[in-house]
Amino acid sequence: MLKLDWNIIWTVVNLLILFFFLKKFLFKKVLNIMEQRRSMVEASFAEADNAKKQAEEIKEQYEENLKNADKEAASIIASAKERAAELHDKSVEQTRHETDKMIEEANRVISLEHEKALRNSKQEIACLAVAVASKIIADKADFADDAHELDAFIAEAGAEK
Amino acid sequence: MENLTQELLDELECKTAFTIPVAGGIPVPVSVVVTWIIMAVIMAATLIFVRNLKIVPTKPQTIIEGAVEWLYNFLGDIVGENGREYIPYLGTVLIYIGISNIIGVFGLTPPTKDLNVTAALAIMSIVLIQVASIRSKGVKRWIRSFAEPAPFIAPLNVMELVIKPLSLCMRLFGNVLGAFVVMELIKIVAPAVVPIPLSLYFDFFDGFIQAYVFVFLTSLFLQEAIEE
Repeated sequence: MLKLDWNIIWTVVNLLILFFFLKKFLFKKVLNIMEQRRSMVEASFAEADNAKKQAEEIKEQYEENLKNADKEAASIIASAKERAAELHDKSVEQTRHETDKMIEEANRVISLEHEKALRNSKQEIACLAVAVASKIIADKADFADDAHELDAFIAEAGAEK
Repeated sequence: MENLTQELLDELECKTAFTIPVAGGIPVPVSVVVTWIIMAVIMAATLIFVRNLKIVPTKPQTIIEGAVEWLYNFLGDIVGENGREYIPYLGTVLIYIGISNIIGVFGLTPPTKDLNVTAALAIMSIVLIQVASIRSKGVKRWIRSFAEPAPFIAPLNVMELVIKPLSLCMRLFGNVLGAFVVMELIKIVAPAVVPIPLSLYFDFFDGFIQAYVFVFLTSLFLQEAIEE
């Protein structure tokens, strides 16, 4: 029953064979596949992280763009307003200018016309006066040469008025 | 009564299964033959279930992976990070002793009932522990470690080299032998029904507990030997 002999060798050999077999075909294989899975999971997590980061970056960029767009739109509107105001001012100015010019022109024409009319009427009056005078003179004496003198007299009278 | 004693003694004897007719005949004990059967079963099961391992596991693969992972967690906790490389050996011993202890249920003699087997297991354990200690500390520190914590303890530490494997060996042998004797007695007294629940205890529970204890203690000694 309590016999200890060289049969120990059997067990040692058997156990070593079993150990190397299991190490090669069980532990190593299973650990390998588990390690592979672990690294794969890690890789996919890293990938997901990366993708997330990228998405965040894109989002940030997008938001910035949006902000920029807002700013740009605001600036466009502002400049448009400015330009519109400028244009408006300019057109008003131009209109005023034109109006002024027209008024000036009109005034000039009026004054010219007035002058012309004045001159005409002066001439007319002079002629009339000469005619009157010549009629009187014809009635009385040779008074026609004095027409010029009469004209001067009338001008004088006009200036006084 | 005489008969019973004789029968029991017959059962306890470690028989020689056959003799290899080489060099004057090499006897092969039954325990070795049973070990071969156990090895064959383990190897066949390994080859069948551990192949075509996939990243996305099938159900059997999940179970095997779970078992291996459990083994690594359980033994890894005991032996520590430095001892992880010894886990395959400890796992092999655990599987072998576990199956050996319950093989009686299938009508075979448990190999662990043979003192030679448990002695071999214990000697391998102590060799492994010392080799691991040398690998981890170097020869000088390994020798010096016998004089720790105090030099006058050295004789005790040297004695431990024998006591540790002896206790491992005898504990396993005694438990399995005891369980075997009790079961044989019960079978002789009450051959039907009664042995079933008792077999669950003596064969399965005690068998696994002893396998657990053997590997647990070996791991503990190992951790002690390789700790920095």
